[in-house]
This record gives sequence, structure tokens and C-alpha cells, in this order.
Amino acid sequence: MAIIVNLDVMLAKRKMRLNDLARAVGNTPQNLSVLKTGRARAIRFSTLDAICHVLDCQPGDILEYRPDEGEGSP
Amino acid sequence: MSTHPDRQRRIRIVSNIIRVVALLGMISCLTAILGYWLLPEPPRITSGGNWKAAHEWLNRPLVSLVLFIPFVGLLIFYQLMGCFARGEIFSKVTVRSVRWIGSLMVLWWLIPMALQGVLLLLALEGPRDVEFTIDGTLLGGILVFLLAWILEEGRQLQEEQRLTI
Repeated sequence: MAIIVNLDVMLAKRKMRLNDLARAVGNTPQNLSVLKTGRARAIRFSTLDAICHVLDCQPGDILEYRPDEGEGSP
Repeated sequence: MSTHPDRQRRIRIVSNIIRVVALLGMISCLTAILGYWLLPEPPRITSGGNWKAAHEWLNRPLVSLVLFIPFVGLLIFYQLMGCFARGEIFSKVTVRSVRWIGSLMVLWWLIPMALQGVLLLLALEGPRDVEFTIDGTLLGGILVFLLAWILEEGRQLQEEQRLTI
């Protein structure tokens, strides 16, 4: 997939651990790990909203589109 | 798999009841196969003819083979119900099990006809008429294959849901 998740970058910038983020957004560390490692197929707006709120960032800070790296197919 | 607890409990109860019935069916099949080998003069497959003396020995193995198919089907069905009881409804194992059951149903329809043809050619003396019928077993097997495809679709949707954060 050509969508890259830069959650680890934002976590490092905010000096926050994944477990703390999971607790703050009301999700499990396992689910956020799936997101962080790029294995997620989709993300709900509610989850994205919660993550951006906690990390005080924009969706574009977490999600990036790189057509060269992914297959770019649905 | 996230399922409503009451629904999961009902699925577990019904699956376990069906597992007991399947287990009794398997025991019956094994008993029938064993009894068939132990009987001094077992009933014979005739297919409208009489056995040639040199080929009479084929009767017991062939009947055992035919009885073994429902045993295997019931075993797979027993395992499938076990998956349902554990909450694994849309999984690779259940899809594979349902596909196997469909295959065995089609085989259960096909084998008697094939046997009839082979036996009339080789081992039996009598009119050489082979009966070809399309019955509920074949149609049921095709329906079960269709069910396997639908379950596979459900599995992929569940997987997609699981990977939606």
C-alpha cells in the first residue's frame, strides 16, 4: 500500500510511548501497533481524530502518500 | 472474534449438541464397517447383476470404502462444529472444512454410479445398465461449495474489519 503511517515519528517528537497513546485514545496497544507497523487496512475517522487530538498534530503528520513505495492499487 | 455473548453461548450450545450427534454417527459408521468385515455372509452390492466368482472378494473392500466416506464427512463436520463452538466462524479452517464437506457430498453422489459402471464391466454378470441420477446429494454438495465461497467472503470482510483501527 502507498499510504505510509508515520506514527512512530510523531510519538518520538512528542516523547510519548505507544502504550500511553493507546490509553489516551481509548484503544489497545496491539491495535495501535498494527497501525504503527503499516499492517492496518483502514483507520476510522474517530481514531484519527483521537490520535491527532492527543498528539496535537494534523492527519498529514501521521499519514503520508508515497506512490513509489506502495502498489497503489485498491 | 467479537460476538454478542448470548449469541456466542447459543452457538456454542447448538454446536456441541451437533458434535455429539456427529460423534454418534462416526461410531455407527465404524461399527457398520467393522460388522461388515466380521459377518460371515455380508450383504452384497448387486447393481442388478451377479458377482463373478473370481471377483467376489471385492465386495467387502468396496462397501467399506463407500461407508468410509460418510465417516470422513462426519469427522470433518465434528471438527467444523468444534470451530463454531470456539467462536471461529469465519476462519480458514472453517472455510476449508465446508469445502471438504461439499467435495465429499459430490463424491458420495458420484462413487455409487462409478462403482456401478466398473462392477458391471468387470465383476458382475447381468444387464449392463448404469443408472444416472441427479439427486439432492449432488445439488446439496454444490450448495455447500457455494456456502464455502460465501464463508470465504465473510472471512475476508472480518479480516478487513479486524485490521481497521
